[in-house]
Amino acid sequence: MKPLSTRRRIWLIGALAILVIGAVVAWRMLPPNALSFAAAHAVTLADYAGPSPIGAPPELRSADLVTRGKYLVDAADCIVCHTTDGGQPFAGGRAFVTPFGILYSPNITADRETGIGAWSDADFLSAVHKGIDNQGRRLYPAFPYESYTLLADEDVLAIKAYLFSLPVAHATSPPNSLKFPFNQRWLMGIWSAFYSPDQRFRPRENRSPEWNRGAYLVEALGHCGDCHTPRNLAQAPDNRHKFEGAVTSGWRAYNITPDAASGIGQWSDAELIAYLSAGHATGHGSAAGPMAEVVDASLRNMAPADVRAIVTYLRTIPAIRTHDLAAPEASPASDNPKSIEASVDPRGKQIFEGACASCHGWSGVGVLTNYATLTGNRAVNDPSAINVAQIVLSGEQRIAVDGALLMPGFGAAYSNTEIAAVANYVTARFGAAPSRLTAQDVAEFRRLSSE
Amino acid sequence: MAAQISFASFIATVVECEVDGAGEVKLRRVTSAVDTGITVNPDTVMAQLQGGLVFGLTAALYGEITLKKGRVQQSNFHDYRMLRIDEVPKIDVHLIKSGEAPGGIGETGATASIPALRNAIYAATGVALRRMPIERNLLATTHT
Repeated sequence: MKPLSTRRRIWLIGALAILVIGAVVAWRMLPPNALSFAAAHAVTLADYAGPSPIGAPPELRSADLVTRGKYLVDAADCIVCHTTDGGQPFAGGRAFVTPFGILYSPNITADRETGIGAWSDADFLSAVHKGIDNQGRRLYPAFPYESYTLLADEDVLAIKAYLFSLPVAHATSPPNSLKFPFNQRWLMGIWSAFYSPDQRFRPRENRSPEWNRGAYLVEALGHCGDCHTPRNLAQAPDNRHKFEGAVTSGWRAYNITPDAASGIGQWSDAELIAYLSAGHATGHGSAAGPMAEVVDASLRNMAPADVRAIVTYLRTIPAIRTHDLAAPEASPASDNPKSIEASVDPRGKQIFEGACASCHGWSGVGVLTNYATLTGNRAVNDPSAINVAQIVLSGEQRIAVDGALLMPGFGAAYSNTEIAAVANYVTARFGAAPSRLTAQDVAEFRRLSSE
Repeated sequence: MAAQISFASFIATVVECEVDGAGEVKLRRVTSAVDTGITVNPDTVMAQLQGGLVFGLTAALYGEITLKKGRVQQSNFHDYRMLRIDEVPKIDVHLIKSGEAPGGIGETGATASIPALRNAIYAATGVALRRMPIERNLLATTHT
C-alpha cells in the first residue's frame, strides 16, 4: 500500500482528533434525562394500568378544579420564585443571580397587561411544557420547564385555574440584566432541543404505584433536581450526577441519593418524612434557606401519602458519593465552652459566645427549641461551610408546624472576617470536619445570595 | 488620647487598641482621669464613667442607623450591635479629689472615649477618621 503523504496524514489525524473531542464534548454536554436511570417499562399515562400517578391526591380527587390546582401549585412550589420578599403572591420580581447576569421572575397573576390574564390554555401549556410564552418568545430555564414538561395537561390546566382564581397584581418585573449572548432569547430554543424534550411523564409498569407517584412529584412537580443536581456548562442538570448536590444562588443543596455517608442512606423513613413535612428531623437538624422555603411553601402542604411516595422514590436513585462530605458527627459537642481545638480563630469563639450560644448551646443542642439543634445537621458537617455562613448572614424566619421560629441574620452588623470566623468555629465545634472560610469567601456568598 | 471639659467636668482619657489587616479594631485598655468636682458617692461616679466610656465606644465602633425607602433598617441587637461584655477592655478611672462645684458624670465618659479611640486609631495607622461609626474599610490593609 502506498504510504500516506504527510499532508494527508495530518488531515486524517486532525479529523480523528475532532471526532474524539466532539464525542467527549457531546457525552459531557448531553446527559441522560432525569428518569433515564429507570428507563425500562415506561408506558404512556393512557396505557398505564395502575392507579393514576398524576393530579391531586385521592382525598382531593372529587374537589373542584381550583382546589386541586392549589395543591399542584404548592407541590410545584411556584410561589417561592414568583414572589418577592413581602410582595404580593405570584406578582413576580424575585431576582435570580446566575453566572450570566440577573433574571427576574415574571408576574403570573391573571392581570391582563402585566401578568398572564390574556393567556389562553394553549399559551399556558406551551409555556409550561415548552418554555415558549404567548408571544412566541423563549423563556429562560430558570423557569424549570425541563421538569414541568413532564406534567400532564390536565394538571397544568388545574394550575392555571388556581392562578386565575387569585387576586391580580398590576406589576412589571425589572428587566433582566443578562450579558450578550445570553440576552438572546431565541438561543433557548437550541437549549430546549437538547435539554427539554417536550414529553409528558411516563409511568413505569415494573414499579410500584407509590414509586410512580413519587417520581411524578419529585421530577415533574417538585423539580428537586433543579437545585440538587449539578449543572453542566449549558446550565442543564447533569443527570450523570443526579441528586449528588450542587450550589445554587449561594446555598448548597445537599446529596439526596441513598449514599450512606454523604446522602440520605442513614436517614430512616420517619426522619425523612419529618424533615420534608416539618423542616426538622431529630438527629439531622433543621432545613434552612431555600430548603426551608420549599418545606414551608410546598412540602408541608402535601398529603402524608405523597410525602411517603417521595421518600419511596428517592430510595431508588442510584447512590453517588459526594467526596467532600463525610458522615455527620452524630454526638453533641461538650457542654464545656473551653473544649475546642486551639487552632481555631479565637474571634469565632468570641462571636459564638456573644451571639449564638444562648440559643444553640455549647453542646449544639437547642436550648429553647429543637429547631436550633446543630448536632447531625448536614450544613454544620460540610467543610465548605457555605450554608452555615449563609444562615448566619441572612437568618431564618419561619412559621414552622409548631410555631414561629427566628434565627436573626447577623450580616448587617458583623464583618466578613467575623462571619467567616464564627462559621469556622461552628464547623470545628459541632461538625465532622472544620471549615477554612476566609473573608473573601463570605463576600462572595453575600454577592450570590443578594437579591 | 483626648482631654476635654465635658458637662462641667474635666476628663482626660487614653484608649489603647489594635487594628488588624481587615480594619477590625480590638480594644485593649481605657484609662481616664476625671475631675468632677466634689464627690459625694465615689462608687456611683466610677460606675457612671465606666458605663459612659463603654457607651461611647459602642457608638464609635457600631452605632449606625441606616434608612432604606424611608424605613430604619435596624431592628434589634443582631443588626444594631453593642459592645459586648467580652469585648469590653479593662477600664481604669482615676478620680481627682476636688472641692469645686460638682460637674456631670453621666455623659462625660461617652464624650471622652470617642475622640480618644479615634486618636488612638490615628496613632496606630495614620488614618484620620472623620465619621462614626469608624470606617473599617479605610483602615483595612488587606483587601477583601
